[in-house]
Amino acid sequence: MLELLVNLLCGGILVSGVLAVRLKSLLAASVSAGLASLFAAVCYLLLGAPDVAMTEASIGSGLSTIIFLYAIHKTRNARE
Amino acid sequence: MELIGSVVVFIGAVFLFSAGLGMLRMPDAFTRIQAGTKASTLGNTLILLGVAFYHPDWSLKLLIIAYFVLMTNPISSHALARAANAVLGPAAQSPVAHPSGADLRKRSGNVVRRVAAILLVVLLGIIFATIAANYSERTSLPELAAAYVDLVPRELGAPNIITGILLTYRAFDTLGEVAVLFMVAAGLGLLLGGGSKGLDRAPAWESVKATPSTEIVKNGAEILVPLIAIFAVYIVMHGHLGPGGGFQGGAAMACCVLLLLLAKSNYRIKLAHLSIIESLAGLLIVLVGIAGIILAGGFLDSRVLPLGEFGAFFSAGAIPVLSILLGVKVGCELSVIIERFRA
Amino acid sequence: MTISSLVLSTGLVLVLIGIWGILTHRDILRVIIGFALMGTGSHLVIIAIGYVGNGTAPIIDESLVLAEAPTRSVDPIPSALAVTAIVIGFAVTAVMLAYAIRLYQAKKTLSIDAFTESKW
Repeated sequence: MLELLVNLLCGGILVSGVLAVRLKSLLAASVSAGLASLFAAVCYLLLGAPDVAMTEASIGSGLSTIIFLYAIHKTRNARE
Repeated sequence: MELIGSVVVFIGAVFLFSAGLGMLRMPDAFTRIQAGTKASTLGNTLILLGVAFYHPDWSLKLLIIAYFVLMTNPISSHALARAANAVLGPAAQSPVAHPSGADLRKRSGNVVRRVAAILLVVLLGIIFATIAANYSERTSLPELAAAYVDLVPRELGAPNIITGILLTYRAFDTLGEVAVLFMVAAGLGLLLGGGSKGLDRAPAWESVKATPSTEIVKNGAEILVPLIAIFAVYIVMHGHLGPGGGFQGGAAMACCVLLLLLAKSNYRIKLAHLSIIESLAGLLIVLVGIAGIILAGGFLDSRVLPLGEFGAFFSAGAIPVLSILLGVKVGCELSVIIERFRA
Repeated sequence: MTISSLVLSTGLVLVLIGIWGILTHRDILRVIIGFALMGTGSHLVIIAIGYVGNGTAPIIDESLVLAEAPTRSVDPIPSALAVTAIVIGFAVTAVMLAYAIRLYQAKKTLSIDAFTESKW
């Protein structure tokens, strides 16, 4: 059961990582990077590190994605 | 004898290096030819001279090689310069590369760049595959970890071993990391802030009027913001008993502030107040550390306060106090970072 | 394959994907996304190295009593390292994005080809 879950999560991390560098839209790419952080946070929980899981979930998929979105918003005239 | 030879070879290598650097850095085809020829001829001759010091019986052969180098280098560079003159036209007055030359360089540069990227990734992939193949899962803790797992509940009275490590045994690293966050928050103030005295302010028509947020966000935030704030405080206060601690609670607090900012779009955080709060928290952490030197084992030793009963709320010495101060400081700094990006 | 070696390989592949993203794109913001992915991948590697087979979190409560803690708990040191690393990685990403915004305000473009004379 644990192995199945970790397999699915690792597959999710790799898929969202590949999407983050290949997608055309910058917005979707940064959200995909946040999604990879979220799957990684659940992996940390399954590997017995709940402190790291909390930190990664709030900082990696919350705050980091938000500042990417702010940066995209401030430079939006570069992409017509 | 060999020492003199080594010195001469080294000087020749320096000249060859400057030839390579010149070929990369010079802006024009003609200047590149000149850099490549003169310096490399001298470098070659010096290296041959240095080898002659090592093997004196080869002197005649080395002299013949030097003669050939001296004869052929200037002729070939002259031929290159004539070809460049025919293709690119005479060199311009200002040292800026001719457009067609620069265009050729850019197109071949793209292919070279792509091939270099693929090679680097493949090489790193091979190294990583070796690492992953030699890895086997541990079955028992390494010695240092076993010592920490034994020491933290016994000497510090904290059930959460990670918090015990972060706030007592490795507390100096935590203080350094908090200092890095402080520097980043201050540096972002320089880069992104600077109201009317800012350097390259964007023109007024580019600054965005804050659009009001939608119903769902506003109503949801009214319910969620107090809940998240209470949860953040809970994580910080129970850091020594269960998963949690200063960093996690601070990050959760910053998420709560972020939700508040997203819901009320014309809300401006008073950055001056936040700076005062976080500086006070930092000062108090250092004071607790100095109290650790006076009253207990060393800097930031958490045994300044009584250890109490294992697993109770008021226990584990000064770790809850340090957690609260750390949570306040990290939360304030992350909120300042978010606010600088928003404005 | 054990779960820690699976997570280790995933982390290493994510680092490679991040490096590929950094080297290939021309837009500064995509390069910064590559850096963020590289950071996430290396944190996965750190935590995967610290896993002890069939272990549990190093927190002493009713699921891990004090007597059996040294045999059944997971290594706590990589977790402490990773907490610090994640926060500092976020701070570095914030500084990189601030630089990207300032470069855009100075040159009105985000392609790194426009900044080649700022090198060296």
